Amino acid sequence: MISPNTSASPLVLSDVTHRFGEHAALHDISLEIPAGRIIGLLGRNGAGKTTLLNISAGLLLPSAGTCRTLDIPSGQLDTPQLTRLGLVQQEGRYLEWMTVRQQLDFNASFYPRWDRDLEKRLVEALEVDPKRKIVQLSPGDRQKVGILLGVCHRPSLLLLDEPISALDPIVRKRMLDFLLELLRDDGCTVVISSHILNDVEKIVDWIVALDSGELVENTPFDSLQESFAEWTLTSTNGALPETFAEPFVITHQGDARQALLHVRTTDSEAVTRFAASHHVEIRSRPLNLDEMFPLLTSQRKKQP
Amino acid sequence: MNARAYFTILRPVHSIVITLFGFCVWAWLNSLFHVSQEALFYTLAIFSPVFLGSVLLGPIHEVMHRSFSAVLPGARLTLLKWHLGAVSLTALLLSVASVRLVRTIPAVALIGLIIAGLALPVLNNRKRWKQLPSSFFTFLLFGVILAASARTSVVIFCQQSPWIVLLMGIGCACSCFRIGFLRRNVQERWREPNFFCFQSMVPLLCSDMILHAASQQAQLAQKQTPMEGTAWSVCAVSSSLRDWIAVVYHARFGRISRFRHLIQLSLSGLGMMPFIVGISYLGSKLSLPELCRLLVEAGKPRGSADHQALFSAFMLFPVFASSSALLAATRAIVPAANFPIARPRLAACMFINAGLLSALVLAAYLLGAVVTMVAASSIAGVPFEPGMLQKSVASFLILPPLIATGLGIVFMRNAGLRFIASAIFSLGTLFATVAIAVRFAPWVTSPHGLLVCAAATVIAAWLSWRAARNYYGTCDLTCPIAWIKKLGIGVA
Repeated sequence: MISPNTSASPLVLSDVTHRFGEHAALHDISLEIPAGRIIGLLGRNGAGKTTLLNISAGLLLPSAGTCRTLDIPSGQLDTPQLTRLGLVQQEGRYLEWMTVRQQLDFNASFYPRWDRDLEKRLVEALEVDPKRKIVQLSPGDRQKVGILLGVCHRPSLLLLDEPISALDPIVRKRMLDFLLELLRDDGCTVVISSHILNDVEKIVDWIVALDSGELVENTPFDSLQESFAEWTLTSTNGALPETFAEPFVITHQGDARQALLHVRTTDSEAVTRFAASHHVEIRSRPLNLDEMFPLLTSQRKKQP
Repeated sequence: MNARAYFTILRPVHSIVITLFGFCVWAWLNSLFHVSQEALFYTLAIFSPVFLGSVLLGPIHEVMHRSFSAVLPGARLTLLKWHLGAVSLTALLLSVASVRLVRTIPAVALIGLIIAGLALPVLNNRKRWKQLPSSFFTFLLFGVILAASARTSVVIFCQQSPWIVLLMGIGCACSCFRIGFLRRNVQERWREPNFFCFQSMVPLLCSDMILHAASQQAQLAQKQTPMEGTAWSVCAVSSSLRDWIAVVYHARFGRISRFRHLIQLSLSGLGMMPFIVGISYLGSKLSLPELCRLLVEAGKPRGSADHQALFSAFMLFPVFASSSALLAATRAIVPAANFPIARPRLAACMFINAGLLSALVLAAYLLGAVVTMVAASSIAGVPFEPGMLQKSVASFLILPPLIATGLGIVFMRNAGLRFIASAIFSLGTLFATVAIAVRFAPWVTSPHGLLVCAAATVIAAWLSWRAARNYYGTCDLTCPIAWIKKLGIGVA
């Protein structure tokens, strides 16, 4: 486990396992979410992201292990903690007969710190019509309502489960800008799970990746970005080998003359050594999160 | 949560509509069974608390069944506090009313029953939203049975041990609130989001919610694995109308085969027999053989059906039959999916299915009426003669043109015209027509009468078919027959 060096982590999971019958949605997860960061929670469908977020919010209880949210076991979250917690669910269900305004007012009545100015600003930025009934809203508009309900009380820990999947690119950008603002103004810790990685990588500074219920990555985004690269090899002396034995090589495709490698290494001398040992010319290119994502799972299997 | 938020979720107008509806049904049932002596006691001390408790609790449970509420700070205790307040106020009002109006039962016992009745619905775990209508009707049935059966033991116990009743009531209420608002039980609720309270499902006022609830239920049904042998088994659908009729039927009624449908309808037709005879029996104060003898005599060609006790036997069967047939037909004409067929073919499929289904319903109820007369002659000790069925058959013969006309009205596009036509074609018209048919049964069953009925049926069916073809030819196929769906018919 790689633990960030923070004093008060708002979310700590220790050996958390969660089972739905025979199926283990999460298996032995231990991690500490660093405070005041935007954490990207990545994983394929069924990786356990929603389960992890639901456990963090106290909606599910772990089958084994402990989860502490805002310094208290997540199953015991009560009014003082819940006023500091924001949750935006992937398919949140609201009181469908209400208008957006009624739903906002209803939720606001439970929070002493509900920020009406922020609400007004977000309603305009997200282009939500407060007079419309929730039942009449499109999935995207319902997602916007979920975001409004999750953030207008200015939480110190915000859990976002696929919050932007149904939003159009313009609203998505506004939403991401707002999250950065929330981080800047309130020091809010944001955990965001999303498949729209191109957008997420603009704001996240920490990556937590899950694969089949297991933790495969828990790293600052910068160091992750520095460690992954795409090498284009051109042979300078004879044919290239069919495989490369170096443990940092994750994928390899090409022919005897040229090859494309995806590598993960923190060793700055690795390029020079590799070029010298294989008699190749290397052009290196950093990867974006979209390209890194499939490697995060496959490289784990290669790790000793 | 402040008072404004509480009243927002309670929706006073919807709550009043629901309450009035409940009390109207209750009053009608009371009048039907001629329950007068203890009716007030049962209304104020048992029916009203449980019913009002359910009405007040529905919105609270609806909030709990939504995922957003799981992380609302202090929601559980706040909702408990407001519900407790509303229940206490209702208990006070009911207690004052019952103490003033019910003289035969000690006040202490009445208060105990009211408190328990108001708290009892808290235990409803509402695991499936389908339980909403079923629990409501089970409750009504329970009320009917209670009101109609021997109830002296409850009354005597209340009179003899009022303080025990009060203590039991308070204990019951405390337990209900404690269990119902346990943190664990409340947290379990958000996982079942398909619960909609009475206030959210008022026909006409909440038509969009009725549609939404139906679509949620349909999604839920799709996730469930179909029962073995009930899935669609035809691997290729040909272009024949017959095949498409089967497809459209299967999409609407899904797992029920036509044979099972027929059996179910026949059972419902036969099931009406004890109900209708029971109403006549309870209302007449006659012994059963006497009532059956009257019924058999009245059924004969020259018999008179003027006796009040016979009203239900000859009138209610055809009236229930036509209502059920029209309801089945309107369910059948709402397409359950977007089918890849031409509009005229869709119209034909829908219309034929509606016709077949309503014919089946009529046949099932006619069977019920025939069996009733056979059973009555047996109980009365009179040999059965086919002539005894004349009035029943006559009352059913005039139904096909009426149902076809009703179906034609459903297809009317102009809402104003449809409203006027529906007002003319109301339950009153149906009663009057059936009454005329019963009175002039010999003529209706004569060759002339049969010819007129057949001609009327053909003309009404043809007009109805034209209306259906025009409707499906130009309607919005993304939401056809929307006004029927908004009434909650044909959506599930």
